[in-house]
Amino acid sequence: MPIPKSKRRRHEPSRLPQFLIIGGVILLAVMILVLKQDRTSDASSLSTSADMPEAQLDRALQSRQPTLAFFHSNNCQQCIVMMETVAQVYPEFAASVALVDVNVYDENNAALLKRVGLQYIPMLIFYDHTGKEQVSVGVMEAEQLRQTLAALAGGD
Amino acid sequence: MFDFLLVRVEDNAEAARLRFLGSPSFHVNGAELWPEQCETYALSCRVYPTSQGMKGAPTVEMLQEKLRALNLTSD
Repeated sequence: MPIPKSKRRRHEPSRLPQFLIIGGVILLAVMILVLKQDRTSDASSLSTSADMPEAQLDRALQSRQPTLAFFHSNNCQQCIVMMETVAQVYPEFAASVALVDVNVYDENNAALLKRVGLQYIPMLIFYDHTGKEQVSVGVMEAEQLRQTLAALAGGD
Repeated sequence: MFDFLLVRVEDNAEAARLRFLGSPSFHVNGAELWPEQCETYALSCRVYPTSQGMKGAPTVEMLQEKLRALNLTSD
């Protein structure tokens, strides 16, 4: 006996997969947003003013520690040579001389650049324990840097 | 009409002889466009304070302004 038309169950396609896909996309979007938020807060916590080169320099000078402030960019040829020289020589003096590394094209360092009157790079400023400074512009040979840092560390 | 001359500065001795303030520097008729007091001359790069912060070269507008001031522009 045929089933009356009104009692026939209509076999419509299930909407479950559709809901699952939409739900998945929403969940993914929320996860991306949360991760992004985390990264942003990490980055901002890394760039707190206490970690900025100017704050590092002030801390070193206040504690009367001999200091080398190294101003450079990451793309000028002389700067690259000097970065290699500093990387080669400075570790010998790391225990006694503070190093403040300053990328001059980082906007966060603008106040420090103004303060030291930066015009040329690479520039090295050697501060002795009294805060007296000695400025060197251009490439310094490794041996000359070693002697200058040794004098600084020795309190000469 | 202008004559353009690119000068490659090879070492510190040449930098001292030319009173070179760093690369790039711009001279017009022998005069430095951005003169600075300097005690020692060395091979170095120059940084220019621009409206977008410190840059490795002056902006086109900065150069135009300097040249206009010298009445050297063609317009």
